[in-house]
This record gives sequence, structure tokens and C-alpha cells, in this order.
Amino acid sequence: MSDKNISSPTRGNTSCHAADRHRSHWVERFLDGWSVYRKNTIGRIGLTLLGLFALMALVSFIPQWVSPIYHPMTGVDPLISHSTGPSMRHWLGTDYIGRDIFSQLLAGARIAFMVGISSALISILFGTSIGMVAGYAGRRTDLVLMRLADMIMVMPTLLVVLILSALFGQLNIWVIVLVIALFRWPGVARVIRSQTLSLRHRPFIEAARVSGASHLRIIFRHILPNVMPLALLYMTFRVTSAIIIEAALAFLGFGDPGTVSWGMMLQWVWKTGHMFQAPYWLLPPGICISLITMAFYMTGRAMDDVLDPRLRKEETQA
Amino acid sequence: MTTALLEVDNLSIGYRTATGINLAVDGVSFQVERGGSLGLVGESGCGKTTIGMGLMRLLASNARIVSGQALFEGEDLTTVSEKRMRQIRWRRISMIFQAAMNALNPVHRVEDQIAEAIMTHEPDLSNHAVAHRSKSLFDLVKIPESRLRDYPHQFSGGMRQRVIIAMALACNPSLIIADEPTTALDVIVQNQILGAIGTFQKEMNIGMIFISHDLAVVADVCTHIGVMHAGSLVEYGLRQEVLDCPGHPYTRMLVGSLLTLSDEPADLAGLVCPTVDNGPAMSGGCPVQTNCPNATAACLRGQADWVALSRTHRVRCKHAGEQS
Amino acid sequence: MGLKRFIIRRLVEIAVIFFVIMTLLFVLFRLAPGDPVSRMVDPSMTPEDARLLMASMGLDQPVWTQYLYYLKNAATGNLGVSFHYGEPVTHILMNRLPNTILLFTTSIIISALLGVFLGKIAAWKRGERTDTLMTIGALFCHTLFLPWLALIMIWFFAYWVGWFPITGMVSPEVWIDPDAGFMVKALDVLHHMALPLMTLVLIHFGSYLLVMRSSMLETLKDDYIITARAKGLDEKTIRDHHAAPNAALPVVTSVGLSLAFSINGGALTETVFTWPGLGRELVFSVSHADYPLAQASFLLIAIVVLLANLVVDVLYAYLDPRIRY
Repeated sequence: MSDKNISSPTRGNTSCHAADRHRSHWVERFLDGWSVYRKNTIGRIGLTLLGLFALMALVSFIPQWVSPIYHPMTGVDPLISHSTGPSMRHWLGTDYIGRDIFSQLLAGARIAFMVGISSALISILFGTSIGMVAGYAGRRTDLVLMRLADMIMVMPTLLVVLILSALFGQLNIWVIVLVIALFRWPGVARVIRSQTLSLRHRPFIEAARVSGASHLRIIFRHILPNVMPLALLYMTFRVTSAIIIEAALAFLGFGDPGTVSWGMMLQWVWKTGHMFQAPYWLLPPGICISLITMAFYMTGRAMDDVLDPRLRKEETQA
Repeated sequence: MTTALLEVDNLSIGYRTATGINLAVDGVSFQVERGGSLGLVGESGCGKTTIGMGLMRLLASNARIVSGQALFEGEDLTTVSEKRMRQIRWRRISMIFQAAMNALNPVHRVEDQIAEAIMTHEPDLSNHAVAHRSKSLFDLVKIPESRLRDYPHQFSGGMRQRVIIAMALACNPSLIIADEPTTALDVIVQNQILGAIGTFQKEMNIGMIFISHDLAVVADVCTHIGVMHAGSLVEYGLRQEVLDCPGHPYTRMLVGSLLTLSDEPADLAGLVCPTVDNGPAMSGGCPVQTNCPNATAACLRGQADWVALSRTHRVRCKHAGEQS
Repeated sequence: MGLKRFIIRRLVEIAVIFFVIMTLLFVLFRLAPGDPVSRMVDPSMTPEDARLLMASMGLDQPVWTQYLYYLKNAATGNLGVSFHYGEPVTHILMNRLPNTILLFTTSIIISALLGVFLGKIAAWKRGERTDTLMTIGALFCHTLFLPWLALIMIWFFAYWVGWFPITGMVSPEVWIDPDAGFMVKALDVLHHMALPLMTLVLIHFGSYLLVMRSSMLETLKDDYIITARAKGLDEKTIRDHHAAPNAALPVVTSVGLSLAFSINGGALTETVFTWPGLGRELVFSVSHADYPLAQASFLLIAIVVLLANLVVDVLYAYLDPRIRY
């Protein structure tokens, strides 16, 4: 990045250097942030929990490999045809048709990560681009985009997906992911927009404009690196809401019937009337959904502390 | 011998930092007479605001009074109980805040904010009497009574500052600490506010500490002037003495810049930019040494003692009295 | 005067947004695979009735005319007949609306007040044990999965301890009894409402607590707090009279922003507790392919959210004189 700097004569301006320094040292910035993050107890707990869940997702392939009776969806234990409590054979017991709850729980972790992260990525992609364009372009574009964002923001996402599944039948898990993402970008867009607005008149942006950089180049080379940390922060919160919405949808019976998610497990225990008799079945999926949400939320809050230097100063003073 | 209204003796205030206690105010002594006014001048960060807040015992949580005392009407403000201090605040010592601050609470009507001050300190007063006093205070600062029911954001900057003055006078205090009361205002409004402050202070015989970075403003309203630099008082005297024969190089610079409007430009070459970083000052020696044209080896060895230039005028410089 | 204009402007905005939502729904209903007519007319109706209904909704006309019919019918409250109940949907939903509003508003008001109150204390005792406990507790409650919490509440309080009824809004025997007075009936509803209400409050108060706490910490650094101290006010007055009213403003904003989230939660709670409200009706109609009912309950919920937003905005203006004047 620095050699480019030398080769281009129009970039001799000091403020341009500042912008480049911002970007080329992002590794250093990351390490800097990490050293602050590490001291944050909430953040450490959050990351540890996430690590555990990631481990669950990774080992979720093992049970069905050990024996087909442990397959979370189709693996029915031939000896059991109803819900049983924990045993050596089934660590967390079985559900109403004799499927292993523990392997379902592991599979649920995989679905949660898949849904959460992919949906968050898409909504961040939308939110960040729309926010940057709105903030940078201003005027009419800004007004229209933000009105659109306001409108989508008041829509209860869960109910929207419900209506869609009423019309289009059972939705595929990827469709659910996409729909959640399409309805969760406005919050991100608003934050990125205001950040872009504050960047727009900084000297290094003005300098880039004066030196003839195109709008696209300014947005992607100068603004994007500066809003990136904020976008990442919002991603953790979007992961949370995507996981919750998918789980709620599955709980209500509108999940992808081809997947075993935690919400689905709760739906089974609820609908088959086992909730009073089978705490071994009722408790684990709910605890998992709550904990993974909390883990992402805690990670996000800790990241927020890292990104907000004001707070950081306060912590060291206190 | 008359006792002064406020007698500050060797007051030091420090901020706790990672490396220890950093003195923002270092051994400052001065007096304010009943009805007298002292102007504290110095650049931002020199500790003048800290003195004001320290006297009110409103320092930030990481700051504290390290040593010294402040005798006010016979009580030492640095040691009285918190409960007693609450009684003294506003009733005996009130404040006029920086114009740039939002010193007024945005969600309450100004009338209620003034009344609150009165009722806190004179709980026996009837509502009617409180309302009457609020009205007369507004008359005093020349704001129509009808605006008592307004909210702070409905006033212009100058008007808001008048409201704050009215509020400061609400309990008829004997000392007012005015901290940069006109700094953010435009010049005409600034003159009106200064006029108002000066008038009330004299008419009501209130003692005043006027904190400002602007010597011209202080010279307008104060009987005494104290010049501060990097946490210490470096010169103290009657207004005329300080303005006419400044003894300290830093004061000379301030006075010099004051006269540039009418006189020929002062020679500031030697004193380009006085620094306030605490590094060199802490290492010992006169805090001004790095910028001082008269600095000699002696200045490196420690801060000068007070040199009396007259009965009322003292300077803290090893070269005071020498001609530069 | 300013406030009146503000409300009118917001009402116009709401009308526009609502119009857009209605249009989108219309388009979606036509885009979906299958016969649009079958979605508005119960397949089990007699041909005679079906024809009448179709005529009243313009379903035998071209799409554009259908759209005009749709708008006109929506304006007059004719949104079709429920497949399941065989009654006009507006009739059913108007029945459900008060129940939803009752649960929804009480839960939001209680959780906001609780959040403000506890957040104020947490900020005041910053860094102390009270603060740590409250912050962690808020974080914990806030991230609980709502339907699961609802099930746990039923399991514990209704099944295990037996303090509250398991589901529903009223006990039929109380309402049939001609001697039961208003108080008895109200108490009965309250008894049924306790669990769903507790569930919603537990989920929602945490985020308000966290918002209030950080907003309060910011406010305590404001200049007028120094003024209040300089005036010799005691700490409690400073906290409650000077800091808290300012710090609560962002909480109001956050209530507005989380309304959509709250209505999601409301629908889930209503479903688990079989509380006869709009959200439950929507879930029910979707799982029973009762399209007219689904469409109408969605529209009505949208109106509720939009109007609730307006109420929050007006409340904000009422609390913040800088907006009001």
C-alpha cells in the first residue's frame, strides 16, 4: 500500500497519508483492539461461550457417523418409540419418536451459526452499502433511502416472514435467511450513514475529492475502511436477531422442515405436550438459544467498548 | 486589620493519574475582600477553573485538595463537612458558569430552576415570596417577567447568561465565582454582561472571583488581578499595578498583547507560545523558563519566591525588579 | 400548535406507509403461486355464496379493478370472510384488538418504567455490586429466548406451583356467572394476564435498563448537573430531578425503536399463552391457511405498530421541551 503512495504524485498531501495509515495498519489496529478487548470480562465470557458453541457445531457430525440411530433427523432408536430421560445410550434422552436429543442439540448449533452468520453478513452488506451511499450522496438519495429504512424498521420481521410462509408455503432455510437479512439492514444503514456523514467533510476525504478520485473510489477506499469496525460490531447484533427470529419461526412451526434447529426442538416438545413431563427435553434447546444470543451480545458489547475510546478512557481512570 | 471575605492560603489541588498525583493548582494564595473583586487570568489549563471548583468542593472524582486552606467567613472550605458545604453553596457562594456551558437544565422552566435554588436554602419562604423574588431578579437583569415560564433553549446566549446571573444572585450570596462568564458571547453582548456583573457586584457589595483567559475583560471589572501560569500564581496585585508595571515576564506578555490595539506591536519574539505541558515544570525550576527571554541558570534551579514590588503587589520571578 | 402540526404530519406519513404496506400485500397475494381467488374465498363455500363474496371484492374483475376494490373495501373495513370462523375478519379482529392492546401497552409501560428506575440506580451506584448485578441480570433477561421463557413460566408458576392458570384470558365459569361483578371479572383477567405480562416484562426491561444506565452516566457528566451541585441540592434531588428526566429521553426513543421487536414478542407470548389477541390470530390463521384472516391481522398489527410509534413520538415531545416548542 505504501509503494502505491509513492508512485502516485497527487497523494503527497499529509491528510492523504493519514487516510492510508488508517488502512494499511489495520492489523496493528486489530491487535490494539484485541489487547483492550482481552481485558474485558464480558467480552471474554462471550468469546468463550462462542468457542463452545462452535465446537458443538463442529462435532455435530460425529453422532450420526458413530451410528445412524443418532442422526438428528432420521435416526430413530429401534428400542425406543417414545420420549425417555437421559441414559448412557442417550445422554440427554430421546424425543417423542425416539430420536437422540443430544445429537439434535449439536445439529442445532450448526444451524444457528449458519443462519446467524449468513443472514448477518447479508444484512451488513446491504446496510453498509446503503448507509454509505445515503451518507455520501446526501440530498434526495439520502432522503429516499432513509425513508425506506424507516419504513422497514417498523415492520415486525417475524410476522412478515409468517405472512410470506402463509403465501409461499414452508420456506427453505436459505429463503428464511435471506428474508431476515432483507428486513434487518435499516438499523445498520442508519448507523453507517451517520458515520459516513461525519467522515464526509474530513480533510482526507476532501483531499481525495480534490485530487480527482471518483465517488466509488472514495467510498470504497476511504470511507469503507473507516466504517468497517462499526459494521463488524453491528454484525454481532444482527447475528443475534437472525438466530432469534429463525428460532421463533421454527418454534411456531414455520421453520424449514428439513432442518433440526433449536427452535424446532422446542416446537416439538411444546406441540407434542411433553413440556410438563420432559424437562430434559424442554431445557437444553432453550438454554442453548439464550446462551448463544447472550454470547454474541456480550461479544458485541465488548467490541463496542473497544471501538469507543471515550469509554475506554473512563475504564482506565476508574 | 480587616479580615478578608475569603482567604486562600497555599492551596494545592491535584488530579490522580496513572503515575501519581498531578498538581493542577500548586500552592496558590490570595484574598478577596468583601465587595472586592479578584480577576484570575491565565491560559486554559493553568488551573484557574480548578481553583473555582475546588473552593466550591465540586471537583471531579479523580481530583482532590492536596493541601492548604481557604478561610471563608471564618470557616475553612477545605475541611467543612459535606452537609455544611451544601448549605454554603449558592447561599453564601454562588457561581456564574461559562457561557458556553449548558448550565441550565433543558427540561425545566427557568422559573423553576431559580425557585429551586431559593427554596433549597430558604425552605420557610412562601411560594408567593419565591415567585416575587424570581420576578424581581428578572427585573434586575432586565429580562421581561413573562419569560420566566420559558425553557432555557428559548433564550439567546446572552439572555441565558443573564438568567444564570439572576440565578446566582437569588440567595444574596457574599461571594460569586464567575468562570469565563462571557467567553463564548459576541463582543457587544459580552460588554453588556460584564457591565451587569460589575454593577451588581458593586451595588450588592458581593465579593467576586472572576476567572478568565482574557486580561482585557478582567481589567474591566476587577479591583485585583492574579496571573496564573501552569498551576501557580505568578503575580498578584491591584489592577493598576499589574497593568502599569507588570513584574513577571508572562504578565508582561499578556499586557503587551493587550496594548497591541492602540500602541505599536509589542515584542513577543521571545515568548512565542507558552506551553502548559507539565513535563518540564515538574522536573523543577521556574515553569516559564523554557519560553522566558530572561531565563538564566538560576531559573532552572527551582521556582522563585515571592518578591514584593509594593505593599499590595507581589511577583514570583527571580528577575523581578530587574529591567528587561 | 407545533405539536398539533407535528401530529398531523406524522399521521400523513403513517397513512402513506400504510398505503405502501397494503399495496405490497396486494401484490404479494397475487404473486404467490396458486389461484388468488382461492385465497380470498373459502373453497368450502356454496357456489352461490362464493359468487356473492367474489362480486363484493371485485375478484371477477381485472387486477387493477381488484386493487381499487381492495383499497375501497379496506377503507370500509371489509377485508373478507375468515375461512375458519366463517365470519367477517374485521368482526373477529375488532374483538381481539383490545386484548392485544391491553397486554402490549401494559407490558411496555411496566418494562420501561422498571428499566428507567433500575437503570437510574445502577448508574448512580456505578461500579458497585448493585450495578454489576443489575447489569448482568438485565443482560441475562434480555437475551432469554421468549417462547422458551414463556414455557418455563407456565411450567413453573402454572403447573408446578399452580398460582396462575396455564393459558387463556378468562375463566368461562366466572364470565357465565350472572352474579359476578366487574371487579371479579377484572381480577380474573388480571389473574390470567399475570404470566404473559411477567414474561414480556422480563424480556423487555433489560434493554431499557441498559439504555437508561448508559444514558444516565452520560447525563451525570452534563454541565447542568454541576449547576445543580453548586446550588447546594442534595444528591437525591440531583439524581431524580435533574439527571433522570434528561436521561430517560433516550429510553423513550428506544421504546419506539423496539416496538417492532415488542410486537414480535407479543405475538409469541399470545400464542404460547393462548391469549386471544391479534398476534395469536395471525399465527393461527397462517397455520390454518386462513388467508383473509392472515392478511387482515397483519394489516391491523401494522396499524397498531405505526400508531404506537406516533404515541411514543408525542410522548417524547411532551417530555422534551426542546422538541415541543
